[in-house]
Formats: sequence, C-alpha cells, structure tokens
Amino acid sequence: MKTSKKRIIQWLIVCLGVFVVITSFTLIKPNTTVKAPSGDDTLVIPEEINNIFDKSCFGCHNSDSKNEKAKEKLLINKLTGLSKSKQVAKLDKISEIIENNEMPPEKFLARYPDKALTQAEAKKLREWADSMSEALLKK
Amino acid sequence: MKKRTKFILAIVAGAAILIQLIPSGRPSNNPVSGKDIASSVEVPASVYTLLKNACFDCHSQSSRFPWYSYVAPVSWLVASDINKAREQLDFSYWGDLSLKDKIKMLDDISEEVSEKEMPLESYKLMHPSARLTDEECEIIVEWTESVSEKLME
Repeated sequence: MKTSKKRIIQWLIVCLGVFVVITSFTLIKPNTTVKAPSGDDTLVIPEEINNIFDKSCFGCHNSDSKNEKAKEKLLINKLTGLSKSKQVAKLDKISEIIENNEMPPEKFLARYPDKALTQAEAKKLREWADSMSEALLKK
Repeated sequence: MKKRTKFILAIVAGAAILIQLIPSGRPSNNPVSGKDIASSVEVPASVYTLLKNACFDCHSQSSRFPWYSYVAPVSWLVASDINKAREQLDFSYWGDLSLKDKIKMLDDISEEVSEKEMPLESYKLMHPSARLTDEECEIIVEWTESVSEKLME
C-alpha cells in the first residue's frame, strides 16, 4: 500500500515536470508576427511566411548562426529593424534568389532534403517579398 | 649554354611572341554623358576618389590600361575581368538602372566592400591605391546607405 502511494506521488512529480517543460517551450516560442521596433512598421512577417523562414532559412540567417557568410547577407531576425532602403534591398534579393533557385544551397539540401522549399512555399515567399518591397517603395 | 637549354628557351620565347597575336578582347571605353553615377546621385569628392582608385578601372567606362595590360597573357586576364565587372555593375551607365536595381546594387556594393571581396586581390597587387583601409571601406558603406535612403524619398 505504501509503495503504491509513493508510485502515485512519483508519477505526479513526473507529470508536473513534463507540464512545466511543455509550457516553458510555448513561452519561448517567438511571437509569430514580428513588427519593427520603432518608426516604420510597413514590413510585417505574417505567421505563414515566418513558418517558411523557420523551416528553410532561419537556421543560417540568424544572429546566433555560425555561418558567417549567411549572416552577412541576411539576418531574418533583424529584418524589421533595418532602414527602409535596406529592407527593400533585402526583400528584392530574397525574391531574386528564390526565383533563381539559389537558396537554400544545394549542398545544404543534399544533407537536409526536407528543408527544401516547395513550389507553393517559394511562390508565397516571393509574393510576400515583392508586395512588401512595393509597399515600402510607395511610402 | 647547352644546346638543349637553348632549344627550350627558343621555344618559350617563340610561344611568348606568338600568343601576342591572339586578340585579348580588351573592351574600349564608351562613356555616355549624363548616365554616370556622379550625374545622377551625390558623390562627395572623398568618395569619388575612392571609387576611382578602387572600382572604376573595371566597373566603369573610364578604365585605365597600364602597359602590361597590352601583353598576353595578362591582357587576357584584364579583358575578361573588365568584361565580367561591367556586366555586374557599370558606374558609367548607372542611370540605366531602375530604382529597385539601384537600391539592390548599393546594398551589393556595401556588402562586397565591407566583406573585402572587392577590389580583387589580383588588382590590388598592381594598384596600391585600391587597397582600401577599414576607414575607407566604411566611408563607401556609409555613402551607399545615404544614397539609398535618399532614393527612397
């Protein structure tokens, strides 16, 4: 009888632990719609686009990445904080590079084939980049 | 001198002379007034000097050709470098670019210069004034950003 009570308490502790871990993960999950910190808020990254970035781009193009070359070209987490002209340049380059199938790089895809952009994802990403760039240029 | 050495030298010399007959494809300079970078955007004198010393020999229609650029095989390298460079960016035809392309190009320039990918090592070897210091790179980067911001207005 005593041992079964202990068992129940142990299980409860394990469940509580799992619960805490899960909730902390949801807390860490970044806000899906990122907006510019101040001033211009034309550039928005909707959840759908953010998911595509997450899957195929963010691994290298973020401030904590070890890929220096990728970091110099584009930091997705810093995109909304850039000046308007830099945003236009980066958006146009994203669109161009996706159009030419240059990213993600072939070597990377050979190792992680599931990170490839589907045609639909590539199209969505380009449409988003083009429309954002247009909106910024019109302002 | 041994007969054999003489023979080899003669062959090398003959080949060196013969390759001069192969056309290098060296491009000519064809500037068009009003289309160059300085006539469409503000280029301060300090920036213009840097661009002239470090970029214009390949990325414009004002390429200077030193004597060795007429001698094969260097002439081939010079010709191919300039042709490739002008295809990417020609400061003399800046006015032909669309607004978007100008903004993209300015970002490219800033990246290439700050990552020290341009000017090319082979060019810097023969052109000491093209060896940009960190401060000079920064001047170019800041200029590209200010021009780009102005284009957005």
